[in-house]
Amino acid sequence: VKTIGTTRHDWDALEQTSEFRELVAERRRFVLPALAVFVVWFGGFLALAGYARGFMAKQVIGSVTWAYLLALSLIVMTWAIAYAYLRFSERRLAPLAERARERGEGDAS
Amino acid sequence: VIVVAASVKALPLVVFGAVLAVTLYVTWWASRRTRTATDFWAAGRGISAPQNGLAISGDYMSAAAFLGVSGLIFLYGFDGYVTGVAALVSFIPVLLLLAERLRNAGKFTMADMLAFRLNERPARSAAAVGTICVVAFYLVAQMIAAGALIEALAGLKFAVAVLITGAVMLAYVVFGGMLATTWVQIIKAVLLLSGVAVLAVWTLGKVGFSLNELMDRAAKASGEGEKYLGPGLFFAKPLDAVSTGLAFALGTAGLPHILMRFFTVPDAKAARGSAGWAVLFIGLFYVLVMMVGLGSRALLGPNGESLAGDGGNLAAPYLAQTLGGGSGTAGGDVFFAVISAVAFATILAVVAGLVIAASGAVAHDLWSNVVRRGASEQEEVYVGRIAAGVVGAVAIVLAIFAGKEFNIQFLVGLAFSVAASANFPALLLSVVWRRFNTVGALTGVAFGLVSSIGLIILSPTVWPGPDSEGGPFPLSNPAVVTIPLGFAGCVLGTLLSSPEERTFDELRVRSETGMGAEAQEAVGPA
Repeated sequence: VKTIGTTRHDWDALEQTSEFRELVAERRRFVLPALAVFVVWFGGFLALAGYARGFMAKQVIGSVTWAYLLALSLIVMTWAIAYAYLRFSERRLAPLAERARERGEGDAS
Repeated sequence: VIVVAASVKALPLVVFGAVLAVTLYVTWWASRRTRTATDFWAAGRGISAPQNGLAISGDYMSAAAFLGVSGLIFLYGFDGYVTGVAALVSFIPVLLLLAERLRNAGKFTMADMLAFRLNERPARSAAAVGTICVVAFYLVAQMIAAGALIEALAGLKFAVAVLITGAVMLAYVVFGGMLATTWVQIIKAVLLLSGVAVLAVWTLGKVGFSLNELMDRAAKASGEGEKYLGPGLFFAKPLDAVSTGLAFALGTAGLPHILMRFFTVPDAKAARGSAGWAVLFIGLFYVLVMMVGLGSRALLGPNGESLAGDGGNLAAPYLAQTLGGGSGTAGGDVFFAVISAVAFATILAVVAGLVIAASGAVAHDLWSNVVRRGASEQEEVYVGRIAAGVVGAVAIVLAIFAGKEFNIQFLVGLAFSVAASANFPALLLSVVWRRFNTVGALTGVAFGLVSSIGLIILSPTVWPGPDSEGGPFPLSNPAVVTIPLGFAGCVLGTLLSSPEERTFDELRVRSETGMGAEAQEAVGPA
């Protein structure tokens, strides 16, 4: 039990509330797959850049090689993940966080 | 008579002067609005998400990112672009794992998060040491780059250029705190993005707005043919590319000056929003930098490599000169001066961000929470200003002492390697691992720090003798070994010591929900 301002909170109990558990589970539902996409895509790119030089120097679209195409695809991937996360946060996580906060402030003694 | 200048170029100096005048005016404005500790280190938490997104971009897009990456693409083709792409994707872990949690649970520094649940004094000390090491390596590298660039671009002597850069950087931080630093970063980001956009679009115009044509002409001009458009011309060993890429991709999540920016916004929503804006701007920047690098190769002609100098750093300014009409023409000289001034502004914003991060680590972490617990807020800010002055002065002296011939590539590599291997594992595990404890954090930071420094000394970049003969450790950047070592240190230290009854639940609830987070400071009269 620790004090914030004039309010005391039982953090260990709060961590166990269904509201908080739901928030954590929902966040994990987005973050883990997104991190997996990042690791596979970027890891694959690095491995190819290091070990598949011949393949990466092949031209795919006009004169654009696999190397530049994959590099640009990583930039688009980063934009897409960031945009998706911001939307997901706004729509799904923010209401859950609000509920968890309300529960916490309601439980304060 | 003291020789100040080698051969002064008036026009770049005039444009440099304009940049200085605007940013010093902003500093004067900010100094009148900086009173409390929250003002000094977090700009009163009143920076909006788009503003902070620009400021993060300004903090992050260093001279190495602009001149260095375009120069390496110019010289070596695709390998030069690997660090650029890695530097951008690094914002995925920052956004998904750290941005909101830091804002919710911290105050001014990344050490705040560790101190929350671990034994405060040792945890803060370890994080402060990690911060100061990263800042020191990065700052000295940037100062040397600043001196060498200004000497080449405007004709001032190296030592004079370093002194001016250092003095201006200290003026921003000591008088204007985070508010001045933030606006310097915003101004710089706008200048840099516009400058690079004009360069890239103008370049594309020269090749009929055809990416194919740009690639074909660059490949032909390189003398390497198609190989120029693929990897392998810069990194000697395949694992070098992988290791350098990893250092940049995970290092950002341990760069104290970047993480510190998330404390300047009102709440967690603005923190994640600002990371989103930063990703947009920095991604755009790297698309444009690719065009600039390829464009330099396609358009500079056979004389390009001697103009661009070591590491190809001057390829972009000389591309500007060529596009403007060439050397000696009014258009060429003006565009050269403008792009040089953009590079100058770029360096100023980055070094200011580094110095304020170091000042936070010394004053907020070490002074008022380790050395003199319970120091007043005024004292903390006072110590912070002194710390900034000392850190800046030491960096100036070291940079001048090292000289312009000093190999800064390994210093930058070292900064990212320490950030990724010492800071990032401890930060990440502190928010996701319940069992993690103080001993784990200390061993993790120690493992990451010692292995990074040790292996860089043993690497071909530093070990005496020509690069090709190499040192006892074969890779130019050790991150592929040191990041796992950093995590192993955290895990081993934790498992070999007894569990701590600390406040993991509190950190978890607060960092996820924002309960009890530091609010924006009310703007009020003095």
